[in-house]
Amino acid sequence: MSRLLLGGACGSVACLAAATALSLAFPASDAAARENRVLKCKTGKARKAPPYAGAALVANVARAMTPIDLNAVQFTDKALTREVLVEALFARRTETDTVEVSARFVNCTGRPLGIRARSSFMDDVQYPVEPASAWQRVIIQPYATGVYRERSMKRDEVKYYLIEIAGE
Amino acid sequence: MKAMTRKIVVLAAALGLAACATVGGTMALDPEAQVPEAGEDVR
Repeated sequence: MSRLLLGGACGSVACLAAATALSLAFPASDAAARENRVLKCKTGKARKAPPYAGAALVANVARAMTPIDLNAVQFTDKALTREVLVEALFARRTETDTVEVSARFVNCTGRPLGIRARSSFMDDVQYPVEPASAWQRVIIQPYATGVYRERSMKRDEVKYYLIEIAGE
Repeated sequence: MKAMTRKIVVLAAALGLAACATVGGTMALDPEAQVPEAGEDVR
């Protein structure tokens, strides 16, 4: 994408060289998977990511708290943000129209890690349609993935969810 | 001289655009993480 933009905008040898250098400095987000090696995390990069442009829980006083993104994972422990990454997040309707959410986490530390996770389900006006689920324990081996999964009890009215994770 | 200045401006703008497109901007919502409407996406 960036190479196309640059190529179209200038088209000189200098520009092409700059485009190549830029693409090396900032590799595309869909980087190829790297096999046969232990994963490396850049948790700082994850922490600096901008908020999603979607629905969020906000304080009744403007800017009194950080908005809590919905249909997302919320860390409740600062230390955990340096140890765990959210690799993927899914929401699906089941056959009975309840909602199943699933998150895959990565343990970025060199020791086994225990985290707790729970889900809250909300309707289209962010009303909590049921109590938050019980905290569920997820054990993640070093530099490995762990999966958390939860189902709502309510059906059609569920529109948003929030997964909160905490340390043990 | 004027043409050279124009080239430099165009190059700077293109580099800026490319950098923004690669490392910045608002993160798009992940469609997989959104709750499908009732009756949809039954697996």
